[in-house]
Amino acid sequence: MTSESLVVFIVDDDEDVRIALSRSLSKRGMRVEHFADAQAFLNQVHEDAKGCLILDYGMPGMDGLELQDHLNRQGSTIPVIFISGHGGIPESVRATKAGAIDFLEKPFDLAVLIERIQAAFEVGAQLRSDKARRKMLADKRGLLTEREEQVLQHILTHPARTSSKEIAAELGISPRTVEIHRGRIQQKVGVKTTIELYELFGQMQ
Amino acid sequence: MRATLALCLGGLQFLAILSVILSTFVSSEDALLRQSRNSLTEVSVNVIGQVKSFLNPARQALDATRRLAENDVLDISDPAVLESHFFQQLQVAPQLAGMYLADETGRFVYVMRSEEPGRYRTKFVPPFPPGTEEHPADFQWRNDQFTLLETTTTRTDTYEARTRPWFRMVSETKAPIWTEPYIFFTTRQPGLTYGVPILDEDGDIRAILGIDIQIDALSGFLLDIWSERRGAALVLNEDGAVLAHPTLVLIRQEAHMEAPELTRVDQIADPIAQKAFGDVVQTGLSDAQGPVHTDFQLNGQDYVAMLIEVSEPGLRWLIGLYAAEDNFIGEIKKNRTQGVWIALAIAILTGAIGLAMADRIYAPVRTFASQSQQLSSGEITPEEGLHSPYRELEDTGAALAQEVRQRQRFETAYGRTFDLASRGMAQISPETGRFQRVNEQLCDIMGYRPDELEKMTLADILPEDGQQIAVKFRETLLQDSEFIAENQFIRKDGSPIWLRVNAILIRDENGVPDHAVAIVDDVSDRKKAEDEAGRLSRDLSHVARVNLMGEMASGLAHELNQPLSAISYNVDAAKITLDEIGDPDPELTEILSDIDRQSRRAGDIIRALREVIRKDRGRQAPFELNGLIRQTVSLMDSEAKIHEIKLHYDETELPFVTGNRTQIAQVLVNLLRNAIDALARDPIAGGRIAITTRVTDELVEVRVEDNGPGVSDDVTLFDTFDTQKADGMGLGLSICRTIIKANDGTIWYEPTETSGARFCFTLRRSDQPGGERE
Repeated sequence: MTSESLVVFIVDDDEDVRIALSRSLSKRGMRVEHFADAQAFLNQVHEDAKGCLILDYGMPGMDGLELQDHLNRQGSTIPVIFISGHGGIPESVRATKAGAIDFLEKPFDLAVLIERIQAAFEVGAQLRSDKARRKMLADKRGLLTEREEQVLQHILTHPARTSSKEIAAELGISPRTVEIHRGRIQQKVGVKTTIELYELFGQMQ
Repeated sequence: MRATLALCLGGLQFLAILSVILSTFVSSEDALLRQSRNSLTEVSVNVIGQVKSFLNPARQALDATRRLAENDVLDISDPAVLESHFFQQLQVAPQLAGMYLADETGRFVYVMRSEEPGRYRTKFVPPFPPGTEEHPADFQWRNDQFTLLETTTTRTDTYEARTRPWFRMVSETKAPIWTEPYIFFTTRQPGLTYGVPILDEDGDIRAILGIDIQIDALSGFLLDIWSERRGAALVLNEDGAVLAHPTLVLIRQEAHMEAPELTRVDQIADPIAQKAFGDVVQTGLSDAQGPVHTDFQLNGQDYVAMLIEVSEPGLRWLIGLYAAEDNFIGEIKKNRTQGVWIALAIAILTGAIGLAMADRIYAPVRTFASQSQQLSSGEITPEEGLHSPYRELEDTGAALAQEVRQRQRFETAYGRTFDLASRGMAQISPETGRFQRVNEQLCDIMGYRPDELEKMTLADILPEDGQQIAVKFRETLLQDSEFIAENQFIRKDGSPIWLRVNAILIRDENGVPDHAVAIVDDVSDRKKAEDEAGRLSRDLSHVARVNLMGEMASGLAHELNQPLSAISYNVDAAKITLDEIGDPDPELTEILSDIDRQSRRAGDIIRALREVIRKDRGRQAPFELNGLIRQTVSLMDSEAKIHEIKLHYDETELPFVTGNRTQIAQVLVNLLRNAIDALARDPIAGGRIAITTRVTDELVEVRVEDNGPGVSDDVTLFDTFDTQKADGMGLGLSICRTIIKANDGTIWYEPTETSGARFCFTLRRSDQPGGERE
């Protein structure tokens, strides 16, 4: 089961719920870690930890929405499932607009929660892979010299004008130099053509 | 906008070119007018010169003769000498018609041009007394060589020189004179006479010399100088008589054949000359020495004219000149018309070119605009980007693409939630009620495909008599209230379905309503049950709107949700643990299932109570209690029958009571349900519930009595969360008390004689004082 290495994080200020829920999920073979408040979670869990977060909406201190917002700003890849004892439509819309997988009202059917957890695991995997890919690309791009970066930038922003002549005219250098830069970029990044280069970095723009 | 631009552009160009052409034209017209006047002046100078040269020989000839005579070089007493001298003078100047000398004695020597028998004729008149009718005279004809050809004598000559105007004028002034022009009797040609005195040492007149000048040749000259152009030059006397005109015959007034006169300029058969110079006759010539220029129009033709004086001692003649203006500026006028057409053509051409250029400049902007439209509507992806030959647009395009990408990323996240949600969800236009986006769950509920549903509006899935819901939907949301309604809708197959729709309005960053998000639950099952109970059932669902109860329920829900959830999950964990043991005790499993079921039920109750939170408090009004009780009994009857319990209502005549009808119904339902539960818990044969009423002065009392086990002593009734039911929460009576209290009544418990339970509550009579208040 893929969830072996995946962890369900639970953040809920109500100890009874927290313990009962983690017990129940553990019994179903999931790895569960639970926290009494948002800060404890932030202190102990890496923003790209594998798994998902079951988050109570209303908590003293940093509440669920604030934690979600914090994670979003960190660029966290942990998907969030909200649970709430008194959530209404406005809250659930806010949460889902901010990217939550779902907003479940307590007491909710465990079967539904488990279904959402599975969905969240998949979403999390996708988010992590996207992030890793972005990081890999950023790393590769970090290898480029300033001039090479300029050439790359031009290719990405003007995909219709990528001939060496055009780039050279734009940057005020000779086409031959552009050719050399282009070759180095492709070598550093590990692609063979400008089209591949664009496909690779285009999405990052 | 573009048409205006084009019009302005073309118009401005046209004006600009036109103004250049016009200014050129005006200045050139001025110059040409000046030029035309100059030409006239030149001609006039020419004519003046000609006139002078015409008159000068006469003057010179006579002045010379006079000097010779006065210095005694020429002996004027000798007629032969005079004849010879006069002959020589006439030969030199062809315009001289004749030359003569006369004195006080009546002596007269006259040489004149002739035809036959010789070219020159000389007349000699010897002295004779004045007043003599007739006197003798000798005539001699000679040829060009001065050879005498013929001689004749008469005794009856009548010519008297001493009475002639020239003689008299010279006698009076003792100075040279010019006579007024006249028509020579002999030649019938215009001419005039110049006369000078020959004085002795004392200054007395010895004799008077005269010379006749024929000026018809001047007309011929005038004809020559103006042959090429439409115009004419005239020589006028100061009194307006025409002395010379290109058409010679015009200047002779032939009315009197015997004494023809010179035609006056205001009568001449030359309408242009009449028009140009006719005024001179009327007003006379001004003292102005300079030329007088005039412009005038005749028969649609413009003319310029000039009048200038000939400065000659003793003479006041005028040279009149006129010419058609076209002579000078006709070409220019033609050019002007051409210029206007050229200007127009250039304006149109440059306007068109300008438009084309503007269009070309604007084209990338237009393309960009349509691209950004496509980008924002999603027809092209931000990865394709917006491109433009203009750097500014290119940058804007990049920024726009970036925004769209962010939006798309966000929408992807939102959309995933939307699609994965466990309940029906829809994005609806608040104004039109159109479904902008629906998820699969909603499609399953309604039986439509997403593409079908997204073409429909809220009104399309509402029954005909439920259309006001769509209106309410719109109004509620646009007031930024949450829309909550349970209503019947129509599925694709035409079957009715009860849906609970919760919706809120999402505004865009400018505060403009963007869309509504609705969460839709199928509540058909519940509704079906309610429908069976008829109208009261629907009313009961409104009970949930009691505000007070809502507040309480809110608190309860809050508090209870957590432990309930924990119970539920613990049971779940326990069941799994039990399964792990293997061969579990079936009773234990059953107990756990019960706990699970009960906690779920509690959750359901809380969920239902939560609905109350948002409902408002119902109005209180007088109503007929009997009817309400009857309906409630029939509503609960089916539930009672399941447990073989008899529901009995002992109906008596009752006054109207005041309260919220549906809230009271809820109390009744609760009390009946409690009784049913109590009887069902400890089933006995002949379970029975009776409702009775009692009317007092101000109140109506309602009692619900059962023959069950009654209430244990250790239960505090009407306290929240205190219950003796296995699956109860102790909320029912608490809610009842709140409702009755809100309706100005009281509720209490009293045991029955037969160990059963009896719950009583009172309501105010509407027909008593204070009963009418709300």
